[in-house]
Amino acid sequence: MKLKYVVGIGVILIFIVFGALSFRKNLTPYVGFKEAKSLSTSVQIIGEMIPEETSYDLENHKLYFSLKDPKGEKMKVVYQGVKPANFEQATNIVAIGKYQEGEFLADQILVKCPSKYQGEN
Amino acid sequence: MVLGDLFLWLCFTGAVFSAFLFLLSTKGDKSIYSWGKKAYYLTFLFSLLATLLLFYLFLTHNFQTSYVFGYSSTDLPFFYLISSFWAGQEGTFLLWLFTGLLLGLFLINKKGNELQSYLLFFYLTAQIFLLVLLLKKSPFELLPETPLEGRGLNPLLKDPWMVSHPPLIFIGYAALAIPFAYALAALIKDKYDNWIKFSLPWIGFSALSLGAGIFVGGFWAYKVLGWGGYWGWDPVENASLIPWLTTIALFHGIILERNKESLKKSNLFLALISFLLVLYGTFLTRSGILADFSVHSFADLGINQYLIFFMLLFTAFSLGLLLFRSSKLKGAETGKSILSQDFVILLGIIFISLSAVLILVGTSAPIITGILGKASNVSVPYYIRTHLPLAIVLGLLLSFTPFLPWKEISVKTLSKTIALPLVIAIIFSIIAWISGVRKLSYFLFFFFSFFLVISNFMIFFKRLKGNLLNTAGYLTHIGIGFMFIGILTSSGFSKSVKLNLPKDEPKEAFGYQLVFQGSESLSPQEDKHLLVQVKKGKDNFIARPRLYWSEYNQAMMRKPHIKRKLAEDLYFAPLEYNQKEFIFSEPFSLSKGEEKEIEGYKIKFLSFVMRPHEQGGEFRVAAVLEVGHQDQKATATPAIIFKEQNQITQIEAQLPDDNLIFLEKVMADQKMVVLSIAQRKNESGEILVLEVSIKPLINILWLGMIVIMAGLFLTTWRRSREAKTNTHPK
Repeated sequence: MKLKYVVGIGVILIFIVFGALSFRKNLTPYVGFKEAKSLSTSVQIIGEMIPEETSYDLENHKLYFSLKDPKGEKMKVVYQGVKPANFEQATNIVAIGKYQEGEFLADQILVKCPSKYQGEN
Repeated sequence: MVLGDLFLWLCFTGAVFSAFLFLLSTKGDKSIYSWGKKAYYLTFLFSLLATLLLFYLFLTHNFQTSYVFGYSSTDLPFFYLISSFWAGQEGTFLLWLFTGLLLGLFLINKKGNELQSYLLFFYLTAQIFLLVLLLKKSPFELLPETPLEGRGLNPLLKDPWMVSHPPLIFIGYAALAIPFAYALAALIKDKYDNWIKFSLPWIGFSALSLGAGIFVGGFWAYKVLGWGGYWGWDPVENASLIPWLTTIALFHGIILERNKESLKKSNLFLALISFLLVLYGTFLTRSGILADFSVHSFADLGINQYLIFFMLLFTAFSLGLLLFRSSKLKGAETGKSILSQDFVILLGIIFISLSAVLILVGTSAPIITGILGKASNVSVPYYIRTHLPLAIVLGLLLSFTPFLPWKEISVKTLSKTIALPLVIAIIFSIIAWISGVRKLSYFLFFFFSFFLVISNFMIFFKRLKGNLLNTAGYLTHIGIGFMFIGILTSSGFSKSVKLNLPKDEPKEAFGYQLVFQGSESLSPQEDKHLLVQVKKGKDNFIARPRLYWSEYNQAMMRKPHIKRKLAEDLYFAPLEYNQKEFIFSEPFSLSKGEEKEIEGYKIKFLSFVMRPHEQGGEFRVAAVLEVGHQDQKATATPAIIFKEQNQITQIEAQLPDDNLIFLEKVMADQKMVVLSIAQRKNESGEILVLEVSIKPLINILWLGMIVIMAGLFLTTWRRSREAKTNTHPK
């Protein structure tokens, strides 16, 4: 009887530890541009889009754009993936990824459109 | 006060009064109870009137009502006018309230049940919560003046599946208040025999409608959003998944309690927490708290303090009451033997709950980490990594459970019955291995999915000879197995390639020859379809994915084309369409009412449409033009958005024959506009970037969902019959 409980609790504990580890591993904190540039781990940044500095590389299917944070610091972002539907109209963009050699390599981008679900009044 | 708000106030008064009467009747006074019932009928009536009124306002295009203005327009067909009702937050709260009060009608006439008065009292408090939110943020709010046209419905929601998705979810949410209220009534009365029997059919019903809502939502995402998946682990999706999982855990817990008198406390806890999780999910998605972490999160409506207040009140009261009673509550010990039904069910409950906890923690990550320091999100791999092993364990449990009796069974008897399905599952797994499944976790996942489907199939067929209702559980579990298989094949073994398709130039992908043939609009108002001819042997068809501008979202939208086949789906998602090879005409001016002929178009300027746009300082001006071209007549409304710091964005409009017209300048004081026409230079510059994916066996996933629904439907039917006939079958 006791063995059963030990095994049961053991399995659940393993899961919890495993869950906690993957939680930590996949955690992406919001950081400023400066901090993002100093880190090599996966982070989340948010910034205002600079409309003139957007381009789509047809050869490699990469989307290039630049973000500006409130302090005026700039960040070049490269995103390989589907361009979000409302990208052109975005004011702010959240990018999740890593900073590497002068560019922020985004795995995921979220476009902030304030009125998506709510009317303007 | 407008009529709608009056209905809501009357409904609120009725609900409070009725709840009060039910509370008074807990001493056993029948006449007070019947007064409470009358008050309840009135309450329901006012919610019905409010609901009908809102429908009426939509159907008559009453744009002075801010909510109607915000989510509908005159060009919407009847079907979508109906669904505009639940396109925004206020309407969904009303839908939720109405469904809740409707379901309550099935509760108030139960006889000879000591829980009745408290049940209705607690059930009504949940409705009062919704009413407070509705009164605070009413769908009947008026605008200072009546706009001529509404903003329209988000094009993403113009889909038959999206018409049914929100009602299904809200029926599920509304129904979850029933086991919640039953559990509270049982705790208050300190009597625990009846609540499980009466709430079991409702738990099945909640699982059915919530599950249907989740499945429909997933299918819609796959069909409409164009990113190729059906589940994104977004907070909005998770908010409905978490209570669904706890509801399923609760269902199994009650089955155990009925048979073994065990898990008394856990079941009460699960019944309470399922509803509390609905509230929490509502809070997460509606408060705007996750705005920086989700594409979907609703904006803050200013009802946060109410949401938080009710959430804390319900949580503190219900869990406090459970804690207070818990010392006396003791169920029989369960899971004495490893080889018995109850032990396996117990494990199932634990692992399903674990899944709910993991998703809850992941979804709440920004809040949890925000309290500890820097607000952080968890990315999707967290969910996948943790759920792959969970699904394998559940597959293992579900493979054995059909062969396990409630009593202990010996290894010898078990191994006799289980040999056949095991052998078949091994054969299938070998086939999977040969087809290229080499990763251990995927292989195990497949193996147990096959095993569980076959095990349950065998008993399903055996039971089918008897009463159909007794096959419900096996059927549901077969569906789970199918769903598991479909999830893994369609996501783990999906292949995809991005192609540049210059016009008329053939390219290859997965053995198919693709030729981009240009775009086509069926009429000037209609969105453009991009035509791609796809050929492979005899297989020859035209894929029509779409990229279109949505006025409502102020965004380019994408709609994939899906070619469904029995064994796989071909999924075409447009990524980029380069057609910016235009020659601009000399700008020309038009004053109001004036007509000019430019580049073969007769253009007449009719009027301005101006409105503040989105947040902070943006302003949008559109010119309504009548355009004559050859024999056609159409309207075009190019626009300019004036942003802060003198930035402007021009929004072009389509002209017949595929050219574009831009609004260059607005001179409002002179009632004049400056326009220019952009003509396509040549067609050779057109390039379509297309993502082509293959989703193997995705039909098994949909099949699994349908089978699960059928199983849950039978379950609900069976349990409600049992609750009525007072039987207590083993």
